Amino acid sequence: MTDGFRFLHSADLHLGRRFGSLPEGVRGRLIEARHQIIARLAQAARDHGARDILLAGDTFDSETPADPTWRQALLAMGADQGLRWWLLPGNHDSLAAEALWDNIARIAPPNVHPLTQAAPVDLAPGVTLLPAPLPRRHAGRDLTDWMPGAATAEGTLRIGLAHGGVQTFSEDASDEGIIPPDRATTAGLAYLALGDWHGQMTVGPRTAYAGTPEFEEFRHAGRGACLAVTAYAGAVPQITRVETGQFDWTEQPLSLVPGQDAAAALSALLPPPGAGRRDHLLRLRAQGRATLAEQQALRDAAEAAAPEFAFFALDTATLDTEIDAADLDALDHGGALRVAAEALAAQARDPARAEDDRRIAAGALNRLYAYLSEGA
Amino acid sequence: MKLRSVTLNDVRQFTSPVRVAGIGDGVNLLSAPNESGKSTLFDAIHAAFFIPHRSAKIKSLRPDVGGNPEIEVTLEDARGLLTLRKRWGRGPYAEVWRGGQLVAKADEAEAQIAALTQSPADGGPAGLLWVRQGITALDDTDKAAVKTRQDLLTSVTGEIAALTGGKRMDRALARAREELDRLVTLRGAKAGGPLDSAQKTVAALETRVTELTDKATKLRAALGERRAKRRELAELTDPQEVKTRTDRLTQADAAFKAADRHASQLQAAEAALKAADLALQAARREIDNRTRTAQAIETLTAQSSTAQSAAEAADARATEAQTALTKATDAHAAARKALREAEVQMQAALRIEARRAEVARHAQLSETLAQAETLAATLPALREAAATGPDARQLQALEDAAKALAIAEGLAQATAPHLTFTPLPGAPTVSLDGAPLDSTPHAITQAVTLDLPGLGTLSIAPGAGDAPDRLARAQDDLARALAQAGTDAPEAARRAARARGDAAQRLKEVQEALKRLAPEGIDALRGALARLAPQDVPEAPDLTTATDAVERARAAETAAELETARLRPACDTAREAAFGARHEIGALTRRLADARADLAEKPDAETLNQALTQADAQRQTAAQAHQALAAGAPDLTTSRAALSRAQSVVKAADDAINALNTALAGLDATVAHLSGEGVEEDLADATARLNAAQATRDAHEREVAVLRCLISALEAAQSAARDRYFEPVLTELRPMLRLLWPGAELSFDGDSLLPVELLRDGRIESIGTLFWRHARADLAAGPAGLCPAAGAQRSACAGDSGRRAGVHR
Repeated sequence: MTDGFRFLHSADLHLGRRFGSLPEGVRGRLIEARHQIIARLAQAARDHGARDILLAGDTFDSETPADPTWRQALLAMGADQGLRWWLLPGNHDSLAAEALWDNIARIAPPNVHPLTQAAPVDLAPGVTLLPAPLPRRHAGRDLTDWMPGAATAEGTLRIGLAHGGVQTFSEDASDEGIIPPDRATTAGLAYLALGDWHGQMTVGPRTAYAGTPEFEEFRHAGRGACLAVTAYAGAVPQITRVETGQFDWTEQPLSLVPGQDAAAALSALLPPPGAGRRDHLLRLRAQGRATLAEQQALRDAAEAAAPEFAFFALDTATLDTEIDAADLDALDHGGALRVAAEALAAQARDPARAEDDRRIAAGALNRLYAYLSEGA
Repeated sequence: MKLRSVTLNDVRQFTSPVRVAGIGDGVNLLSAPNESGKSTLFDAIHAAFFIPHRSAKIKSLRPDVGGNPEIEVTLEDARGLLTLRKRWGRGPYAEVWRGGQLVAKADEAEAQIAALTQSPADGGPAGLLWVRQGITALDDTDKAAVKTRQDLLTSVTGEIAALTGGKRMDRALARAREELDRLVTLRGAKAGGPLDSAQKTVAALETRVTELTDKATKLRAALGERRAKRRELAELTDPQEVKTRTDRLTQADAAFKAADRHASQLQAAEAALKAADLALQAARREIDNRTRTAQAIETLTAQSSTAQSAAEAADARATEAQTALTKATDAHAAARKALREAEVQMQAALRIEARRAEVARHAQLSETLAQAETLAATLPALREAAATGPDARQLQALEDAAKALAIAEGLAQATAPHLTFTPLPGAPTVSLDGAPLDSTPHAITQAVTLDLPGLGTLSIAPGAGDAPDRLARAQDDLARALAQAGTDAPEAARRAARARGDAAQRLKEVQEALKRLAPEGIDALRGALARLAPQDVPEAPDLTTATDAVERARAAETAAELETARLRPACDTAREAAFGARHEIGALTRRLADARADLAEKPDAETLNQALTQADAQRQTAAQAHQALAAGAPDLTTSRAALSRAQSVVKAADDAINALNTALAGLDATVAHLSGEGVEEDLADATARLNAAQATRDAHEREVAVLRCLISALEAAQSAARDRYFEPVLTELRPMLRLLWPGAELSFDGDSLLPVELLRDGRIESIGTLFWRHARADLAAGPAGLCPAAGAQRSACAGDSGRRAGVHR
């Protein structure tokens, strides 16, 4: 097979995730985007000239997804019978989810193939898929250990498909069942398609994590993607990243120092203005120190920018307040206001106080500043 | 646009309409003593322009006695006169009149009035700059504040406020309190507020997570159980397992069937042996029967002979007994006959005895009748005698009369003179009433005559008294009684009476004797006698003899009867014995015949012995066959148990498969139901929502902490400022106030400055000025940097009902 075998490698669709931690308004869009990712993957496969789409586990977010979740997913996969979907049970949708895999085996469209056995599957003449389905959520062992011993005809292009960590970055932080990073070599695999890690990662020239095609949290920045792979017998596969995610997830620290233009610093972290912001989820964690005025400016800038984003959160919990005389003068030069402000400032600075009490005092001072600034 | 007139009604002291008119072009001067209402006039003009008719901020214009302020302002512009009319309180209205016509009402009127105050630059017609009294200097920066200060005390308050934070402090506090109020109340989270909502959301989500966790646990358990049952089912339905169970069952079944067949054969051999036993026993019984029959014939023959002898003896005894009985019966009959004859004799004797008694009766009756007739014959005389003579009453009357006469005579004798004659010897005889007179005393109860020989006669008459009369009446009574008694003397009467009594007694005795003799009368006695015709009594044996004969005959009859009775049972017994003996002979004869017939029917002894020999040989053959089968027989019980076990295993497996299928169906339904609901997705979602809600709640709680911290700091600072800056001022001011109003007290109320309604206008102005000046002086001497910056260019003048300051009296 000198032309190589083309296929699409993806994983961790986590269909059925609800995004309960996010505001109501964006949940529906994210859920819909997860469903639409099937069509996006199909399109990516077509664009890549691939017939087979290998999903390396966690197609579903739970072992018992709601009927609409898996039924609609199967319908979406069956929309293009020119494509073949190979579904590997992952830790979230392991074979312990008997109902799910029974149902899929029972009513899946002809082009959807659940891989519930650790046995070779012929993908094409001379091309064999060696899947390593997870029998349960925590496999407890390396499920790819059978691959080296899997007998295939001489010259067969062997493609491994597995779900789990090659290091302790597993989503479930489990040390068990670590896949040897050199499994592709030891098993004579042209390519080992892995799932579990939601970000894309190339483990070796023949081994890669495709990552989730549509991100669902801030852990991995950017947009989700899949891998278009052309595997060759005896040669390094050609791996191409194909961006498929609709939503861009960004979580960044916003480090401030007194005297810095906080609003400008915030603005610098924002994506360029435009319609794309609507599909952007942004979480900024302000840290460092800022004066009352700077914090007010930061809040104002965040408040102004937030509505443009699908989700916008500015976390100032760890931003310390720099209290300077100018801020206090801005509150009042004298009188009770000044006295109150100085009392709050003293509490915020008092090392004898608990951290939380100091932050509350600083918050009160910021709040006073905001109130007085409203009518200024 | 120029002001031409102002009309007030129910505005402060103007409780009846007051009109200020004649306001001309140019400068108009309004001059009047204090408390005349100048300020009221200006406040009314201000209200007409700036206070909406529905506003509640009109209290300061309301009269103390209450009322609804009404104000009418007339303006003149290029188009003529324009009248603005407003009323506040009840029935509020706002109207704009032009040229006598209503052109706008309510909100439209307010809009037109508001437009009047706009400058031409802003599109208004005039531009009304309202400068409050007391404001002499205004700068651009403070314009907004100045507009809100309506009087001196507001200015003063502004100064105070500068120290306590002023309106900025108020705004900050108000904002903080407002936001805190939005979150919490004194009792906790404010119902419906964000914190309350967040807490409720957290609680609801916690409940939801718990429920979903339960469901997910149930689902997990169902999945686990289903896996286990599926494994179990797979093991049970594994073809090799099924084949093993089936083979075991088949083998056990074959073994059991072989054992069963062998058992059947053994059973048949047992039956054959048993049959041979029976045949042998039967042959033996045949021989025994023949022997017993022959013996029975012998026995019966002997018994028949014996019975015959016994029968004959019994017949003889029966005959003998019968003879004795016959004799006794005959003797009894003869005795009965003799008895009957004796009884006939006795009856004859009895009849003769009766006739004798009848004759005796006739004689007795005849004697009785004779006696009765004799007595009856005496009856008439006795009755006559019994009726003759005085009866008892008459005799009693006679006795009474005799007794009365004796008493009368005694009385007469006692009362009469007594004559006693004692003759001399040889004296002649003297006679009394012709009878010689002896020497005994003589009672002279009646006239008597003495014959005295020789002397003549001497007559003596008793004297007068009732004794003679009484005696006479007694004598008369006695005479009548005697007459009635038919006698002439009492003694005769007494005798006659006794004779009558005796006759009556006799009569009674005769009558009683008659009654005894003839109770039913003499005629009845005669009839009875007549019926007893006297007959002759023949000679006959006497009754005693006849009676004795009967007794003897009866005794003989009884003895004969007893003898007969004694002999009859023995005779019957003998006869029965004879009959029984004969019957026994018959029975024995029949049995003997039967036995002989039976014996005749039986095979002969030789034949029977041959059959016995044959049966014995057959029995030995059957026993050998049975022994051979029994020796090699498989254990049927064991094979049956083995088969039963194999069947149980198969059945248990089938049952378990069915049970597993049933359980799996239920588990499938549970799993399908719960997984179809997306329980785990829901749980993950609810958990995420719960985390978010908890974060929101925590944020609100932190917000509460921040706001409380801020409010606390602000209130503390404000309070400290008041205490620090104003208490000394008040201390200095109080004595001066008391010069004006003895007993007046000046104080802070902790929230605002000195609210009071007592003073207005000039008084407030005076107090305010005083206060402000002292405050200023005091503050000027205070710590550097804390002196308020505002108000330095202002002076105090004019005033109205300052809301924030006042004097308490």
